Amino acid sequence: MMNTFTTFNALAVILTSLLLSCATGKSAPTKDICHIKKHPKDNLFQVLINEKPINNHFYIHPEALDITKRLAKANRCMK
Amino acid sequence: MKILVMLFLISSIHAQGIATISQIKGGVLSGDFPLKNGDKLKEGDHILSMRSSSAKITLDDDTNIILGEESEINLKNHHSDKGSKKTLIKIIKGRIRVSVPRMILDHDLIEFSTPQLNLLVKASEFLVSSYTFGGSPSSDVLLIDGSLKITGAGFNSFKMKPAQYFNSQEFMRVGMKALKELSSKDFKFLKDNQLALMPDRDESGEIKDLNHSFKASKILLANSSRKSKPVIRNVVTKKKKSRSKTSVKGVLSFNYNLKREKGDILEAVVNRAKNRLANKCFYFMYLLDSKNKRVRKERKCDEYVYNL
Repeated sequence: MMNTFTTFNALAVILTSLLLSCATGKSAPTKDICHIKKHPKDNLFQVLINEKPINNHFYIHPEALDITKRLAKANRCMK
Repeated sequence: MKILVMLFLISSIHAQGIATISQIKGGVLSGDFPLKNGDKLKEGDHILSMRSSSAKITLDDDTNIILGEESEINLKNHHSDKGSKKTLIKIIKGRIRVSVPRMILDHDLIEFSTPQLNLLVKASEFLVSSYTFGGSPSSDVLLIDGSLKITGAGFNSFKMKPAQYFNSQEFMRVGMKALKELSSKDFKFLKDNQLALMPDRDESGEIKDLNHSFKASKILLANSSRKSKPVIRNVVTKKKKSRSKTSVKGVLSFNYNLKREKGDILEAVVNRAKNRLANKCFYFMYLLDSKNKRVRKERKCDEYVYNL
């Protein structure tokens, strides 16, 4: 019984500290870099993070720029 | 068979140009397509000028229309119908100056319309400015020469004399008292400067300080003898003042050349602000077929998440 109680307490402490760390800790600012790359022929642009396209879509330049700002705000890439 | 040939000939005549555009400054579009000096315009064409842009449109009957910046007109009708000439130009917004040099016969009809007014034209020269004021359409009309008959919903038609001007909203309120006369000095200025457009009104409703208004309007048409390409004002993407403040790499600023841009991209660029107000955004994809065809798809701007 004593062992069960001690095990239960230990689990409770571990779970609580895990929950607290998730609740109070802020994620570290990303060091990933956003990149705006032009289509080879057309005046459309693709957004990349660390040289990898975020999707297979292309945008007009102001839209691409706007997307990088939103990604930075969402901590997906550096501001 | 003869009927088919006649129908073909008639349709061919209608498809021919009814006007030529010239003295383009900046960006002027027909629908989605940028125009260049010498382009022919057709019945039904919708002409739009960008900021700091202007052009001259000459109809095949020598009627001249000077189109000011951020102005929009529709060449709705211009043809002969049973021996009578019929012209209807819709002024959707902006400032224009019209010169109709030829004598108009009784059975001819030349009409310019704004959202509120219809201007029935005889041989004349006049200025129109069409805009929104207080959420409602408003038009300023000033007659320089000739004769102009004004009609519209809610008031009796009347004729204007040279040097007279009025505002449509004011006319709705006070009737003929809204019809005013320009000073002889300002009127002479307008007559002598054939490229001058309608000036702004001051708070009292008068057209004052005409010289200042025209200079502020920056009315300049491109010198047609210039061989170099006109400067196309960048309509999007403000350059960042200091690149070192951002970690984003790659193409950070880009100037679209509206004259060379393609239809779907051009439309997205030109109408971006308007589309965003309507919560309309676009992305483009290239199909994995042999032709690598580009398609444009529409999404709501506020639906954009990481998947974008």
